[in-house]
Amino acid sequence: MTYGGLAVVALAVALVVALVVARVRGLGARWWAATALTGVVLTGLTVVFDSLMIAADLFRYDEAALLGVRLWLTPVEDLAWPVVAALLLPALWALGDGAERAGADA
Amino acid sequence: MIALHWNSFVYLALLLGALASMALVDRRARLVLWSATPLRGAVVLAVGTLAFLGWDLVAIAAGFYSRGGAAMTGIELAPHLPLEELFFVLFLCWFTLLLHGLLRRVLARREGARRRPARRGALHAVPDLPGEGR
Repeated sequence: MTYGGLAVVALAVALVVALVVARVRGLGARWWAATALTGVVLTGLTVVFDSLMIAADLFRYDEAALLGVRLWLTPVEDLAWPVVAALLLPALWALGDGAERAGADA
Repeated sequence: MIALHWNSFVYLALLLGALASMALVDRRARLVLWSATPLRGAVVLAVGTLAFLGWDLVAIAAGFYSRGGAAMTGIELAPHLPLEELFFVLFLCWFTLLLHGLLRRVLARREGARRRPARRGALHAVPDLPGEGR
């Protein structure tokens, strides 16, 4: 498996979790709009900060495992991180709705 | 090896600063750990953080990436998984929840304002709508 393959698996899992939670919790257009906007903002920030982190030599990639497409220094596969975050975290939060004192949702 | 030069702590210090900023925003907006359901916030942050660390462990085990050489303490949670990564993914999860929560609030208020177009200043006057936390 390549790093891109792993990214696709993570994206698929996050998408399924978001779709199931949206169904179970009855999340509507506003939730999906907030999720899409979150994904867009996080992706933009990822291109900037991932590139800075790579430039600072915080981590190194095996070039052979990459697709080779980069935005500035960010491998395109890394963009799966912000998209997964935008799908998974709000979905987990919504899933927890009612788990702690019902009606205390804020 | 743990090098004790000041530049070993640059990344960790930046991350702790970022986390402190998240705490300030959260305390002000009351969205995650300062929400009415802080335990839920803590559990969601923990699950998200573990999910991203798992992604790291799989990628590192497969050899897709490895730790670089700069600006870190050298402390590792697992081979090539620096201590700093724990704080980075926690920051990513917390930032995501705060951003999503703030956007839900803005979108809810815009919808509220649209429903009551005659009321001036409704953008700020409309209280949080039921279900806004979703």
